[in-house]
This record gives sequence, structure tokens and C-alpha cells, in this order.
Amino acid sequence: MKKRMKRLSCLMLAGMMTVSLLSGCGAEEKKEDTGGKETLTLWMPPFGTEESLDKEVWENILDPFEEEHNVEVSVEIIPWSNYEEKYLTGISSGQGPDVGYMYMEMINDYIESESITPFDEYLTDEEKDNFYYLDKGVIEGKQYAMPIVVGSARVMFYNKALLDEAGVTEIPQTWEAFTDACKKVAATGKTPFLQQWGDKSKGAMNAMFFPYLWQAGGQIFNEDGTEAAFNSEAGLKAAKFLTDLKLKDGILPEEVTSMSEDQVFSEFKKGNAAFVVGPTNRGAEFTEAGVEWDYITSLQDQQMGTFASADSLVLVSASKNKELAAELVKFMLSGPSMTEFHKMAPFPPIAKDEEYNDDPIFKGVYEDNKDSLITLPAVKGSAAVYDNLYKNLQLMMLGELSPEEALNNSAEFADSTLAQNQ
Amino acid sequence: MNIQQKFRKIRKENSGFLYVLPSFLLLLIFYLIPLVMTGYYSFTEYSVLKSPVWSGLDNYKNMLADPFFRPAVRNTMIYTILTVPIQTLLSLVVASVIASRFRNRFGRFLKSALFVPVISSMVLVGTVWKFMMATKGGIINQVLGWFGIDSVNWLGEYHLALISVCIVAIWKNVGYFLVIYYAGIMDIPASLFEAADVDGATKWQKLRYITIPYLKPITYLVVTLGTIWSFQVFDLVYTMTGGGPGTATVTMVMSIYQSGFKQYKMGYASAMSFVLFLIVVIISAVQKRVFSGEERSAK
Repeated sequence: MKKRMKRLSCLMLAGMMTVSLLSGCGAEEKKEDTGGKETLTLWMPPFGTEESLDKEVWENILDPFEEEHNVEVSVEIIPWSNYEEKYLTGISSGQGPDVGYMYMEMINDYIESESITPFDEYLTDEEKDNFYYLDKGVIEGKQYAMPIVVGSARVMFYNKALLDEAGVTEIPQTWEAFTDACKKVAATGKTPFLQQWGDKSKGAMNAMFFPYLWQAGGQIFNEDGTEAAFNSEAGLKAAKFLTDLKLKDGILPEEVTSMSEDQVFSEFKKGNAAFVVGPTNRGAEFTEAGVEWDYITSLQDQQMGTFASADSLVLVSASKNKELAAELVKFMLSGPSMTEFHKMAPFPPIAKDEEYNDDPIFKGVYEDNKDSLITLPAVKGSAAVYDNLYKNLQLMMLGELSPEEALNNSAEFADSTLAQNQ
Repeated sequence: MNIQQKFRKIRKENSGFLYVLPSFLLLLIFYLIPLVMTGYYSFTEYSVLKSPVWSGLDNYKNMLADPFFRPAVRNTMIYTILTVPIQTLLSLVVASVIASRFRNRFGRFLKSALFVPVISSMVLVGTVWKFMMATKGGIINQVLGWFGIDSVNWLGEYHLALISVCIVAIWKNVGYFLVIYYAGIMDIPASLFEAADVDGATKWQKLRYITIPYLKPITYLVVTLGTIWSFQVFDLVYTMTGGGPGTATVTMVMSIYQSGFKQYKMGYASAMSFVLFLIVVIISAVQKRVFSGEERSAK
């Protein structure tokens, strides 16, 4: 009897373990107690100094919206380090947000899979007229994206004290003048220019390669996004300019191949580098560090040109209440909401109903030099192309590949990748 | 035998299956099903966002043409060839020294100190070493500077970056294998060493003819684990170099991650995973054969 009981209890235990295991494998439903209110989920990246700061700011901004619509908005701050994975796994498993923040390279894949919905039917003409950059969110003729951060232009910062010390009286505007100025700085024993060629993110090209490609008159892709265009004469000129800076003139020091963006800016903050290229919202840090700095929007070869981001809010197709989610987007992009957001993350206004709240020193970038700000094109499969191009350019800066080899290898890969995505 | 007896017999014979059911389900859900699914996806074009579409051997053909797949395989091999023998030898030597010379408080402290990197997170280790190896302001270059040696671009030189990652991996793994070896050495009967002393054997002879042969099963474990870990290396490379500069430190798992999660090519990533799986299976089988062959010839 005792033996039988023992066996029975063993079997029961095994059964319980199996049941609990199976129940653990089931999809977990969100069971937040919202007191009968509808819930919307918003995924945003961090812009503040800490993730909690972003969450707090957005929750405060969205309080009136929640009250007005009797809805609970759950704000989740997604770290940049696994941003794409989080969206990929979240949206594909049906655990994604109602409203998300995406950058241009991401959007196309989600459009193709119909995971995001256009905003057209939710926007009135009056609302459309309010926005400055709505056209940047039009893809395949539809308003798939509502730009929220347009700016963060990659400008060229310079340390005034180091240039004075080197006797550079006129701030360089052209590539030749820049090279000359750098040589003068190098003669004083200081580092003239730093770039983050060791950075893990392919986004580093937005500051390190694309501006020079555009300045030389080149483009990344052809007009319909079916072939690479960076291997043009302009691209080659830009690539040669950069390799000369490192391998011929010694203006870029050896260590740039292992430096991350943070390390580059840290050197600039310490007053150890004369020139760096970075987003405008870094200016405040340089001031805080006591650097006497100024900037130019971009150098000029055939023309001026530098990168500006155009990140947007998107409406996820799986949202149960798209109309309310679209209302949430409009509320987030309204003047008062953006004013609060820009107190935490200084970016220029995206619509007419907000005053300019970014650092006044950069007003010229977004007003006078607006035409030289270029965003990345929304091209299907571009993420793989950028990844490949970045690796080849890194090899080029190491001297392992010539500029021609780097660009042609990348273009060959790009053409076949883009063809597969057609 | 009547029906009732037959039923009782069947129940008795099969009741064991119920006991292993939870473990079997775990294995099925977390190992077997993903393995079969990876095999299937490797023959499809699959972006996770859309349903997979059968594409035959396209992913495997693309792998051959992929300019970054070959460097990834090469780097993974180099990483394995560099780390596995060094960490195995180093942990064996250090364990032997501690076991023979420091069976005291200092030895225990040494073991604990060498075990600290093992319990540290790989991301933390990678980040700290990245700062230590920085060309400007890195502590390693500062120390080299005291001896008049120029700064070394540890993580930014094409041929040095992978070696730098290997150094950190060895530093992190030695403590773990050291503990395993130490336990193995402690298991060797003291009478063997006493007999060797009587025969006038030197320290080297004792190591060569007693310790090493006795530790063969442990060495097999250490080499197999080390090899599998090396083929799976990802987080250390990701935090230290991100696979760069260029293709200098890109590894197979890194390529799989980038194809799957950055480029949304999950079908292609599955094909690479399957190739990696086959490589690991083949190498493990070869290792098993080599070690068991040696054992047979020893007998």
C-alpha cells in the first residue's frame, strides 16, 4: 500500500510538472489591471540620460490624453542596443506595441509584411498642413510614417582654442582648406580630426562617410532604389579623401579604427581633438565640459551635405484600436507635447505649432542650411547593404582594401541584395 | 496470463515513461523542435515578419557567395585553435601547481581569485577589457608606456583584434577548467605518487606518466566544452569589437545574429546555424574518436 502511494505521488508530481511546463509555454496575455480602461502600448527609444527619465517624461506628456480618452498608455523604453530585435520579435509574435518609433532603414520591411498601417485616413488636410516634414514619411505614396525627430544633423564641431593655437584663422569650408587646417593642428602636436571607425553601429557612416559622398555630389542608391550608386566617381572621391586623411596625411590617427563614437566625443570634450563630426544635440555636453567650440554645418566639395535623421512614429497593424492609436500619435506630435519632449531631447520643431526650442546656436542649420540636410532613403534591404558597406569601408581605412575595391565589393553585394528584394 | 495481468504488466513496464516525460518535454520544446525548425527554415526565404517561402538550396548557395561568411568561418577556427589548447594547458598547469605546492589557504584564495572571471558576465568582462585595451588612456598601454613601449592598437589592428579577444576569452575560461582539473587531480590516488617517489620519478615524470593519463576523461571534457564554447563565441566579440574592424573579428554566431536580427534574413541565418551545428557535431565526433582511440591504444 505504502509502495503504491509512493508511486502514485511520483506520478502526480510528474503530471504536475508536465502541466506547469506546458502552461508556461503558452503565450502570455497582458494582464495589467487598467480598471476596465482600454490600453495602448507605446514603444520609444531612450533620449534622456536614463531610461526612467524618458518614461517619466512621456507619461507626464500623455496624462491629459489618457484622461480625455479614458485610456491607459503603457510606455516602454526600448534600449538602442537591441532595438531592431525587440521590434522584430515583438511584432512578429503579436506582442508588439500599438504605436512605435522607427528609423528609415527599418520601415520598409514592416511595410512589405503589412505589419504597419498608413496614417492617411486619420489625417485631415489642416493637420497635414501643420507639419514641416510630412513628406519624409511618405513611402510608396502612402503616409506610413509620421516624422517625430527630424534633425540631429551631423555637423562638424571644432575646438576654437586648438585652431587658434595652430594659427588657423579662417574656419575651413572646403576639403582642401580642411586638410590644410588639420596639417597645421598636427604640427602643434595635437590630434586634428577623429572619427569612430571602431564603432559597432553601421549608423556611424552617417557622420563618417555619407556626408562626404553627398558633398562630392554622390548618392547612396539610384533614384528607384534598385542599384547602388555609392560606387560612382563621387563615391570614389569621398573614399579617397578619407583614406588620404589617415593613410597619406596622417591626419586621422591610427587608433580611430578602434574608437567608438563615445570615445571620440570624450577626446573632444577633453580638448584633445580639433575637429569631430557629431549630432547637434551633443553640443550641450561640449559646453558643459568647458570646451570652447563652434561648428560648421558641413564641408563643401561640389556642394554642402550632411546627414539628418528622420525618425518616425508608426501605427502597428495589429493594434486593436487604430483610430485611438492614430489620435495618440497626433497628440504626441502636437506643439505642447513636442515642447515638453524637446526640453529633455533638444531637437528642432517638426510642426508650425511649436516654437524653436533647440539650442539657438543650431537654428542656422535647420533654417539657413536646410537644403544641405539629407536623410537616408527608404530602400528595401538597405540594412544589409549598409552593414556590408560599413565593413568594407572599415577594411579600407585599415588599408586592407583600396577605395575602389571597397566600393566595388559593396556595390556588387548591394546590387544582388536589392535585386533579391524587388 | 489474463487480460488484467497483461494490463498490469504493460503499465509496470511503461510507467517509467511518465517519470521522464517532463524532462523529455523540455528537451522536445527547447532543443528538438527548434533544431527541426531551423533545418526547415534553412531551406526557406524567411524574414520572421512574413511566412516562410520554400527556396530549396538557395540559402546554402548564397553562403558560398557571401563575402563575410568565409572570414566568419576562418575567424571562428582561428579563435578555437588559439583558445582551446592554451586554456586547456594553462588550467592543467595551474591546477597541478596549486595541487602540489599550495594546498593551503593561499591555494584556496588563488582558486577563488581565478574563478572570479568565470562568474562575471561576459558583457561586463568585454566592456572592462575594451576600456583596458583602449589605445588612448587604456591601462594596458599605460603600463607598456612605463617601459617605453609604444601604444598598441589592440582592438583596431586587423591582425591583432582577434588575438586580443582570444586573450580575454582565455583569461575568462581558465578559472572554470582549472577547478575541474583540480578536482580531477585530487581524485588521483596518493599511493601512485608515493610509488613514483619510491621509484625516484621526477616531477615532470609524475606529471607525464600519472597526472596526464589519469586526467584523460577530464581533458576530453575540457577540450570538448572549450571547442563548443569557442564555436559559439558571440557576446565577448559583440561587446569588444562588434565583429570589426571590417571582418577582423566577425565570427559565425555573430554573422548568424546579424543576418537574422539586423538584416531580417532568418532563413539564411538558419542555414548558417545548421552549418555551424554540423561543424560542431563533426568536430565533437572526431574528438571523441581521438580520445577513445588513445584510451584503447593505452590499454
